[in-house]
Parts: sequence; structure tokens; C-alpha cells
Amino acid sequence: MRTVERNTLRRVLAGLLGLAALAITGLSLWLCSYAAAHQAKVADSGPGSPTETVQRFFSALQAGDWAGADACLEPGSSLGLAQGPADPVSAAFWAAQCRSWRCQVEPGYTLEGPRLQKTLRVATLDMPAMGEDLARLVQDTLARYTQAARLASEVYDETGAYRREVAQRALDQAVAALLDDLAPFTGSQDLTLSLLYEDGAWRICADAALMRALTSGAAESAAPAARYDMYVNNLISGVMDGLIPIKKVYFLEERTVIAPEPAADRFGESADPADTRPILDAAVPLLDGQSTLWTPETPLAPGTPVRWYLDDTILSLTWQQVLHDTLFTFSEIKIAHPSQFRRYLADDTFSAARQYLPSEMAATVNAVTALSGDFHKFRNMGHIVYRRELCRCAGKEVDTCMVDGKGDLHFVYRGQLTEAEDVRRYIEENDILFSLAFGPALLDRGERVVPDAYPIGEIHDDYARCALCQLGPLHYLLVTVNNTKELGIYTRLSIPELTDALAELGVPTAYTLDGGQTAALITGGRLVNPVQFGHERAISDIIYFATAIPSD
Amino acid sequence: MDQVGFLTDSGYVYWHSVFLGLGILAAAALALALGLAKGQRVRALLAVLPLSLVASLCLGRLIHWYCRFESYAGLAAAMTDLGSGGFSLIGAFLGVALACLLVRGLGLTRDLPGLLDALAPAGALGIALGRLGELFTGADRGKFLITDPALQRLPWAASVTNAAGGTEWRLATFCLQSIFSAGLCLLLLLAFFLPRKRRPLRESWARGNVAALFLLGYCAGQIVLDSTRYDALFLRSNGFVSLEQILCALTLGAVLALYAVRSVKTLGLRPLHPLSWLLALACLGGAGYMEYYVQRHGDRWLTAYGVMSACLLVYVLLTWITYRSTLRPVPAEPAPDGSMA
Repeated sequence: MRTVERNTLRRVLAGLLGLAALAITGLSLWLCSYAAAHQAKVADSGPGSPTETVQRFFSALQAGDWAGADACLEPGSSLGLAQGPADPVSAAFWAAQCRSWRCQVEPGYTLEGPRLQKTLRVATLDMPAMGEDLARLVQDTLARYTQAARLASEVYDETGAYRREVAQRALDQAVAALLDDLAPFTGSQDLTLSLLYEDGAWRICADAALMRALTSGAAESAAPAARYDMYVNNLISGVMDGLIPIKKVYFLEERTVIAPEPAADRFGESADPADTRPILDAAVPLLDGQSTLWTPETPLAPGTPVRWYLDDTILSLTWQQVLHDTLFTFSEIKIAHPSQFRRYLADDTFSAARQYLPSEMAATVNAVTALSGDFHKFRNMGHIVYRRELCRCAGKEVDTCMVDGKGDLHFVYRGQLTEAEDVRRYIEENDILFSLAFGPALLDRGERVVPDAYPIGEIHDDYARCALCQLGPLHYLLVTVNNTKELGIYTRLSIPELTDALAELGVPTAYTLDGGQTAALITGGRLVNPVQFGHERAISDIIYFATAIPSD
Repeated sequence: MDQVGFLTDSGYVYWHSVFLGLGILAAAALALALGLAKGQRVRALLAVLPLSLVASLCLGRLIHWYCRFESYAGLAAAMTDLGSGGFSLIGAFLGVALACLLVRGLGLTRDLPGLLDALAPAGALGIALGRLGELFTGADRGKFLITDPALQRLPWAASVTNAAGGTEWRLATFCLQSIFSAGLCLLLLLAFFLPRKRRPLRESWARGNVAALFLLGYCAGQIVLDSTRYDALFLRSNGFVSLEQILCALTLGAVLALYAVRSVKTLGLRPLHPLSWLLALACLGGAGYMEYYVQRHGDRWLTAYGVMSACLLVYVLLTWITYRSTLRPVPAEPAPDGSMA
């Protein structure tokens, strides 16, 4: 009898639990549709709420309370406003900028993942309009000086141009007058501010949108002083054009991930190498006395064009050439500032879970020209430095290529530095921004350094190759070697053969990157080399060169 | 990007975690129901569930740390801070297996295959519901871009925001896995409850077949689905075939080997046996070649996965035929007067 009761109880329990499983399944499906249609509810009033945090943040900014403003940010971040621009004119503009900070918080919010987005109306200065007005004020002031002068030589030099000190005095006066009344230049714009929830309070993310709003578009990341300096310098350069020569300076912020978009009309291509003559002539100031490996006499591989991009900050020449019975794809790059030579890891994260095609990553970061990197996630070898941080210390077996703040390549040879502390010291002492970990190093300042044996890259086999070379200061050569049926080329190169080929071209410094199907060279958004198997492989990183001219 | 379900004083609760919790609850309820229905000891069921959970968490994190050690500050940090980082589903399988062995070792059950039979459909249900949570994370996407606007919707594709702020549609791998697991769960429940008209040669062979069917179906599906993921886990020494694919292939081999041995014991070695083994091996080889092919010709992924799926389907059918060959008709119950019905 007890057994029968027990069996009945088991059956009832089993039935109930089965129903519970069914109910949870139903609940999950209902919740799925609910979650897709609704966002989480957030209390948007009272201390610590999104609106209160934003208001407190702007109050602190207006009061010059940088610490108070930083306290409203997510932990560990800072706007870096304590240090203003160094140049006196930039400093004056910056002081005006600080006076202009005001905001009006709009009701409502949206949630994008964990980020709450709040729309504000923020006051901004119309810097281009200020530049135009400043130019007029300078001209008016100079005209007054001229009228007031007793002798022409008081304002003009022997060439008939305004004397430098006169023009400078006019500029200073004009700047003071301009910044005295900001009302005509003060406008407003919508800003979508991101906030994160932590320990019961909302904190502001100091992202690019906020920094652009706080600097009227001059800077995108925290500690904006240097970038603001650059912006105002270039503004004044335009204002004083023809009066005082002020060289325009462009650079990219270290923490910026997405570079400015290159101008579409500055890309070009031709099947006739002679068409590059005007480009080379126009690039003379940028080349700064250096000669290019590419010349209009360079023989192109049959049926292939030479491609180029040129603006004030970057020259990129990309072509294909048959050498040593194989197809070389070259991209020669000259940049104006080291910050234009950059590395991008998938999702901007070391060893990220995701991988992308090199052309996808190149498009993401607005590369003028990009090269597949070391595919760092695929193997655990070499030192990986990214954004000045040592992410991996494993330098026993492979050579690491370090890139410093001047854009120069340095090789840390296998076994040279093995302890993390030593590598960190090396990074600090040599101002290393990022590294590449594949190798081997092929040529080091003209010296052939290719080893006889190397643990990766099958160096003695016939293989698709990829290399990064430095030709001079801020002057680089990106190289891939492939076979291609279309041109009847079936040969590839071993690493010693690649070294010979590069040495013959006069390349002084060269380092191997991951070859095979990884090797991909992209310029103007197009894959140029015939990658192995005809299709790019998803990888974890690229190196790229970007323009520093702002998109707008 | 992970979508927030609601907020508490200490922070966010993500939908992803909610669905994972619901998946575990549903799986536990179903496992208990099936175990009770098939006469498993209550104490064995009550012991195996928490043990499975703890072992799954530990092994899931350990495998994730092994494959993604660079995402963690170290092993100790990985094993103590379970709030951040990831878990490997393989660890859950191993955790459940370990818990079952422990329960058997402690003498809480004598019917380990029967216990596994009860856990198999529950596991499939748990995966189906847990993976629903990936619809609310940025993870629900595969390697491949879906460019056909007609397919740019669930369950085929999930929209994601890329680093440049643009929207792209990628294969909704986890959504497909959720649907596949739900289908597998229904199939396993059918196999669990349907009355047997045929019995194997030995009584002990009658149990554990639902679990074997689960392994067969799940592994065949995962060899394809894991290949479409861009964040699959790899052994440190091999970056081409994912850890899950390797283990799934080994499991498929083990399931076939189990039934092949039983088939030979039942029927004796027949010419069809080696022939079917060779064909099965060729199917696994074909699937492996398609993995190699798709890594080199990513633009032809649909063809590659089509062929891979076909190979694995044939493999599953061969294993099922081998299993069927171990069964014999159940002799009719003798009538009360002693005659056969």
C-alpha cells in the first residue's frame, strides 16, 4: 500500500515539475517578446539620478571646479581640464570656451545596453565664425595702425608686407576684442550624453561626444589642451594668412579610435605611372627632402594601376610589381605626424573574442591605407603593447617590433627582454606606443638580421608574405608577396628571399608580419593584393595610416 | 551590447542573466520530473542538480580561462571573480558528467545511464532558454554578414552596431542554436516517453540511449554552429578547429563506437559493419574538410555549411541505423492460459 502511495506521489510530483518546466518555458518566451519591446525603467529625479548628475556636472564646470566635475564621471576617468593650452592665444580662447559652458537637460532618456543616453542642449562657440570675424578685426586694426602711422616703415617692412610685430600686435588686440563679447558666436547644439549606473548613482562617460561639445569640436578625448592648441593654431594660421606665416599643424589624439575620414576626391589611380608626377610634385613639402621608392619609371605588374592618396598630412602610393618572379604589392606612405601611424585591435580590445576581415577593420577606423597585423590572438608569442600598456609578455621565442612616439620602429629580439618589468621599463624609456609580435626582423638599420631558424612563419618555405618597413622618418613601406593565377605567377618567397628582395630595393628596416591568408593590404577601402585562397581571413588586428585633416 | 532588464541598488541586472537563470530553473524542473517519472531515487536527483551547477560553473570558467587566459588577471582571479568574464558550455557538460559520476560514486544511484537519460532533455531545454538571452547581448552574431535584406531578421540574422557606429547584420548563431536545442529537446522527450516495441540484446543497453541521442544530435549541430561563431574557444596549441568542434567530433566517434560494438555483439561482424564505419569516417572527414574549406573561402560559407551539415546528417543516420541494429522485437507477453497473444 505504501509503495502504491509513493508511486502516486512520485507521479504527481513529476507532473507538477513537468508543468513547472513548461510554465518557465512559456514565461521565458513571453519575457523574450516583452524585453524586445520595453526598456528598463529608471528614476530620473532626485540625488544620483541622471538629470541631477548632469546638472551637478555642468555646475561644477561653470564654477571651474574640475575635481567636482570629475567626481560626476565614471570612476577612474578625468576630463583633464586642470592643464589648459600653453599658447597664450589658445589660452585666451580656452578661457572664453570655459565661460560658455551651459546646458539644458531635456526630459526622457533611452537605454543602449548599460548606457543611459540623455539628450542635452549645450552652448557651443562657433569657432569657424570666430575665425572669420577675427580676420576682419585684424584687418581693421591693421588699417587703423596704417592710418595712425607717421612713416610707412612703422607698419611695413622692406618687402611691403606688414612688419611681424605689428601684425602680432594687431592679432592680440583683435583676439581681445573678439573674446570680449561672445554672444554673436554662442550657439547651441544637441548632445547625447552617456551615463553608467554604479553603486546606486549615475556617472557620466567622458566620451568623444562630450569632449567635442566642451571644446567646440576641437578635441575628442580627455586632457584636450594640446589638441585645442593645435585647433586654435590652425585657426589663427588661416586668419593671418599672408600676414604672418604660421604653419598649420595636424595630429591625431592618441586615444582616438576612429580617424578622420579621408577625402574621397584625394584618392586617385592610373594605369600610367607618369600620371603620378603631379602627385609627387605636390608632395614635396610633405616628403621633407626624402625621396620615394616609387618613381614614375617604376614598371607596374601587367594590368595593374598605381593608386594614390595625397593631402597635407599623408601621401600613400600603392602599386604592384613583379620582382623575383613573384607579385609584390607595395604601399609607400609618408605622413606628417607620427600619430597618423596607428594600430587597431578588433573592438579596440586586446585579445577580443571577435575577429574581423582586415578590410572591415580598415573601414571602421577610416584608414587611408591598412595592412593586416600580427594576428596576435592566434598565437601566444611576442610582447604586445597597445596604447602604451603591456598586454602580453612572451618574448623568449620571437622578435617584437616596437613603435615609438616618433613613429620609428625598434626591434626587441627574441630572448632580449623576457621579464614584464623589463619590458615595461623599455616601454617607458623609449616612449613606445604599440608593438607588433610576429617577425622575424629582417633588416635593422641596413643590417641583415634574419635568423636561420624561427618558430613561426615557416621561414624557409615558399609562402605568401607580409612585411612592414621603414624607409626614413615617418616614411614607410608596406609589402605583401603573393602568387596569382591571373598573371601566371606561381612563385612565392621564403623569408631569406624576401629579405634579399627588400635589401636590393634599399629598404633599411623591415619586419615580417603574419603571412599566408592573413596578408592583406587595403587602400581607399579596397583590398589590393591577391590574398591567398582569394578571400580575406577574419583576424584580430591591423596597422593603418590615417589622414590628420579633420573630416569637416 | 547587453540590454539591461532592471536596476537594483548595486547595479544592473541584464536580460542575459535572467534568461540564463530561467534556463537553469526549467532544466532543473524538467530533470526532476523526468527522473521521478522513470523511478530515479529522489536523493540522487536532489544531489545531482546542485552538484552539476557548481561543477559546471567551475569547469565552465576553467575552460574559458584556459582558452582566453589573456582576458583574465590570472587563474585565481578567473576562478574567484565569476561576475565578469565568460563560461564555456563545454564546462557545463563536463560538470554534469562529473556530478553524475560523483552521485554514482557516493552510491546515491545505481542507474547512472537512467539518470543521464533524465538529464539529457533537460540539458537541451536549458540550452534553448539560456541562449534566448543572447538575443539581448552583442554576442548574438556569427562570422558572416547577411547582406540579403530579406534575411536581415531573426532567426537568420541579428543586427549589431559596429565600432564605427554603423549597423550590420550577422548570422544569429545563438538564436539558431536556441531553436536547434528546442527541437532536440522535443525529440528527446519523444524518445524518452515513447513505448519500446523493440528491445536490445541486454537489459542494461536499454538505458542511456536518450543521453546518447542527445550527444549525437547536439554534437552534430554544434560542429556546424560553433564554426559560424567568431568567438569560438580554441586550444592554445591549435587555432583552426575549435575546442567544441574537437570534443563534439570525439563524442560523435564515441557514440558510434558504442553502438558499433553492441551491433557486432548482437549480429556478429557483417560486411555492412566496416562499410558503414568507413562511410561514417568519410562523413566526419567531409565535415572536417568543409571546416578547412570555409576558413579559406569564407565567401562560400553557405555551400560549405550545407555540405558539412549533409555529412553530419548522414553520420547521425548511420549511427541511428547502427543503434537500430542492436534492437529486437519485444516478445509478446504470455496470455494467462499460457498461449502467446
